[in-house]
Amino acid sequence: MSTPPPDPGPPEPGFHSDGRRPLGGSMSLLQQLMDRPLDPSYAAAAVRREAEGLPASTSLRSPLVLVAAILIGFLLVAAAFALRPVGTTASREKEQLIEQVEARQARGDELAREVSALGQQIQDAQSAALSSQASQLSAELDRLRLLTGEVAVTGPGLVLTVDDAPDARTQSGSGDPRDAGGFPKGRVTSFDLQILCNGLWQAGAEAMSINGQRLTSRSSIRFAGDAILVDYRPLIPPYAITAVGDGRELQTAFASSASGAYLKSLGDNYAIPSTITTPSRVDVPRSPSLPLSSAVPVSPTTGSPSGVSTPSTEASSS
Amino acid sequence: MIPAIGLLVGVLAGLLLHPSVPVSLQPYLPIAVIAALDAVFGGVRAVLDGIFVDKVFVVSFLSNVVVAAFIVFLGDQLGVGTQLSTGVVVVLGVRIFSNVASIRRHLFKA
Repeated sequence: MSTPPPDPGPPEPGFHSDGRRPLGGSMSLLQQLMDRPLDPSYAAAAVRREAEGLPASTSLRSPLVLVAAILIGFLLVAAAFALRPVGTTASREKEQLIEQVEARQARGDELAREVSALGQQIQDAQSAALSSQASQLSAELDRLRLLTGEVAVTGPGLVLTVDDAPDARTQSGSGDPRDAGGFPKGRVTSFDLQILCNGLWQAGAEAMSINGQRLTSRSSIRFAGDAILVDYRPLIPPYAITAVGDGRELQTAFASSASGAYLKSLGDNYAIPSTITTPSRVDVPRSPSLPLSSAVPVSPTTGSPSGVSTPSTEASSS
Repeated sequence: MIPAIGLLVGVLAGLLLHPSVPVSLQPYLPIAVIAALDAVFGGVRAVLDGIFVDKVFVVSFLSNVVVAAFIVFLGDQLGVGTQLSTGVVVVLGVRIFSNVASIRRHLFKA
């Protein structure tokens, strides 16, 4: 930028007078841009004003300039506000993904609510149909529903909470056979939960859930990677096993069982914390995944007058 | 002084009003801002050169913004929006830097 400002005269010819091609002649566009960045109109207007006897430059105290300045300031801020939160492409994509995940989760919850509402309707219809015919059958159905997890259960019970050992998150695997796969030994395993749940069933629990997942006769407690799955739904520690039954009796029966001893050894050997409370009221939700897997028509001996046209169904709970 | 106050008023108004630009206009904003900056630096340089004319300044500002927006719009319609935007940014950027260099010469004699 040390070159003196050239005069805004006629465009320079493509060649010097001696026929030599000018330096950088092939870049005349860029050169023109660099040399004459100012609008020629300023110079032209100044020349015209001087010809009319006015000073070449007008005052800056002009309403036009003020308005333009306000407009420019506003434009700058508006652009900054409008374009700032957009972020990088990656963060935008991430936001979109998060939005999608949340939308799908909301949709899933909505569908689950619909399922349980429809299930309630089915039950109402079933009990209405059965109550007119056989109250004994209806009572039996209610009992089976409760035991198989088809209805939500509320009542006194016991809540057993186990959690990973405090240092299990940072602890790396050692040579212990318990963590042969590099698994921290202070972590609660699906095997532990299976033993504890079976112990509670044995102690007389009527219905059970882990972290709000109902345990039925067809539930599975499994491992997938680092997460414990109940019915293929991942659980987040701490694991709260809720059992419906007589809390005191459950607690004594559980404590004296093999599972109780196992729980104690978990605490003693691996510092896995556990607490047992016996609240007077616990809620165990219904199982969302109990499809009808077998249905048989009512045999004529049970005396249903319309047995052929409206076969009653019986959920098998093998 | 007056233009600086006007600029400040505009910025404050923008900060207070939190204008929400319609999404359909947002692609034009960056180019419009650069065009406005080009007009501003051209105006400042004209002031220092002693040839500032308010009408030329306002017309150059408005025409810069409008033409820049039009180029982006046309580029979007033709499917070469990015390339045209880049072209506008390069040309205006070179002009801005040249003007700033000239302003610097005027102010600091360097």
